[in-house]
Parts: sequence; structure tokens; C-alpha cells
Amino acid sequence: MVKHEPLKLEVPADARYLPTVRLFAGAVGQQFGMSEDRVEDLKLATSDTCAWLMRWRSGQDSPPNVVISVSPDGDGLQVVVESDRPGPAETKPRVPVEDDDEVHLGLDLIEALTGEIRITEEESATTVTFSLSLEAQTRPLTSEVPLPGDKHQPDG
Amino acid sequence: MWTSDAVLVVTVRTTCNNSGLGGKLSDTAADGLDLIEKLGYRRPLTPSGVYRGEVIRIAVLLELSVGDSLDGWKVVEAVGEIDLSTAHRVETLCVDLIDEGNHLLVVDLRRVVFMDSTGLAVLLRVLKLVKEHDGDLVVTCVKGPVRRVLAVSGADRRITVRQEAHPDDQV
Repeated sequence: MVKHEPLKLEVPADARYLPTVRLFAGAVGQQFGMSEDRVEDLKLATSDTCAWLMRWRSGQDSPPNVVISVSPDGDGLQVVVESDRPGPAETKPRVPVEDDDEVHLGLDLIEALTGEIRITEEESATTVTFSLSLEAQTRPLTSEVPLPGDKHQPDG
Repeated sequence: MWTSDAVLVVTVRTTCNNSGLGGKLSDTAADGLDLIEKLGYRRPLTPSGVYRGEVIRIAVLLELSVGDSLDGWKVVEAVGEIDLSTAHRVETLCVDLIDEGNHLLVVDLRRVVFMDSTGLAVLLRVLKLVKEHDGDLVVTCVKGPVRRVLAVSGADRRITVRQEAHPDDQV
């Protein structure tokens, strides 16, 4: 089996670079044979992850960089997005950009698309990891994203 | 009404042609120049009027326009991509329209090729605003990435989504 080194893109944590992130994600998805619909999911999940990290940066000085790494993972691709500063952990003071629900809407959306999202917080960096299968899910998505304004409903 | 702050990035790599005959335009460059003209911008010309070089990157992020439908709905048409860098423009335009007393809004996303959660959040905020004025919001989009965002998030159960810009048209 051919071992693939991760394909990487590093951009400033500036929202103006999000189209570049999507171009990169789309190209990598096509390179590895993702279906057309799944390429769109990959672009959305990657772009929204970067946007989530970039939005957190908006209240800070000198923008750090965001590094996107994509590598084969079983029958799909694993995406790792790293930012070289701490992210918006619950325990840290937030930049009051928007309602909390909306800040997390992006992560919820990514989770609905990918099934699982892992956020690793370290003192000097934040890493977000998720995987996407090459083919779009055939079963309907059952996990609906809690939208801003939704009240919590107990299961069942 | 077209907003004036749309971003158009065009990079032209000039090729040297000492023969004075001008370089042959690649298909990519020709498409790029056509797009520039369609968007109402003037084609870049060399002093001799001969196009030389290759357009290697064009990024049209978002164009917004406002129109009226026959029965009093305001139609906001978006063309391009809605993300963290552009969503605020959609919100500003919609809020301005609401402030002017337009509480029936159609946001036409049929020509939007990408929308992320930032755009989704804007639509939900606009919906909330028009509802506060007993108004309504209709989003139009076709099958594709934007429709998928609305479906996966479940927002299409809260926002009326149609395929045509006129709010009375059926899905």
C-alpha cells in the first residue's frame, strides 16, 4: 500500500483566505476520487472549521496561521486543521462576537456531515480533526443541528 | 441596484512577445475575460488593444442586488459565495430593507455556489427579524451545496425554501 504524506495548506487566519481553503479542499477531494457531493461536503466542513478558528481570532492581535492537512484514512480522508493559538474552549474567556449557539453552529454542522469531530486544546494550539468517507452517506442524516433559538428537547 | 464593493481579483501573467503579434489567448484566459465583461467590468487591454497573457485566478466572492416582485416582496439576489468574509453584507442589506419597512423578503440563492454556517446564521437572524414584524422570509435555491446546508441543518423546516424567486411559485 502506498503511504501518502499529508497534503498541506497554510494560510493566514483571515477570512479572505477561505475561498483558497475551499479550492484546496475541493482539489484534494477530487484527487482522491471523492464523489461530487462528497467533495462539496469536504469543502464545507474544511471551510467552516477554518472559519470557526478564524472567527475566534477576530478579537486578537496579529493573526496566526491555520494549517490544513489532508491524508487518506481507510475509505475516506482525514482532515486536521491546526491553529497556532488556543481556541475557543469553554473555559477560556470568549470574544463576544455572537450568540454562543451561532458560534457553535459551524461545529454542529460539521459533525452532522462527518459523524464525528475531535477538538484538541493545548496551551499554544488548537487542533480540529474529522474524517469523511469518499462516498456520500446513503442513509438520511438523522442528527439535526440544533439551530440558534432552539430549546433543548429531551430524547424520546 | 448593484452593491459597489464586490471583490474581483484578477491576476494576469503577461507573456513576452517580441514579434508584436500578441500572444494567443488560452481558453482559461478567454473564459476569464468573458466573465469580467459579463460582470460589467471593462476588459483589461494592452496599449495596442491586444490581449496578452493568461488570467490565472479569478475570484468573484459575492454580488448582491435588490429587486421587487409583483406583489410587494423584496427580492435580494446573491451571486457567488457566502462565508465568514461575505455573510455580513447579506445581513446588512436585509436589515436595511427591513428597517425601510420591507418585511416580506425573498433571498435568492440560486446562483450562490457555496454557503457555510455563517450564511445560515444570517438567514436565521433575518427570519427572526421579519417575523418580529409579522413578515416572512423565503429562500430560493436549487439542488446543490446551499440546499444541502439547509437540509442537513434542518433549517429548511424553519425557513420556506423554494426553487423559484417568486414566493407564490411552487417547489
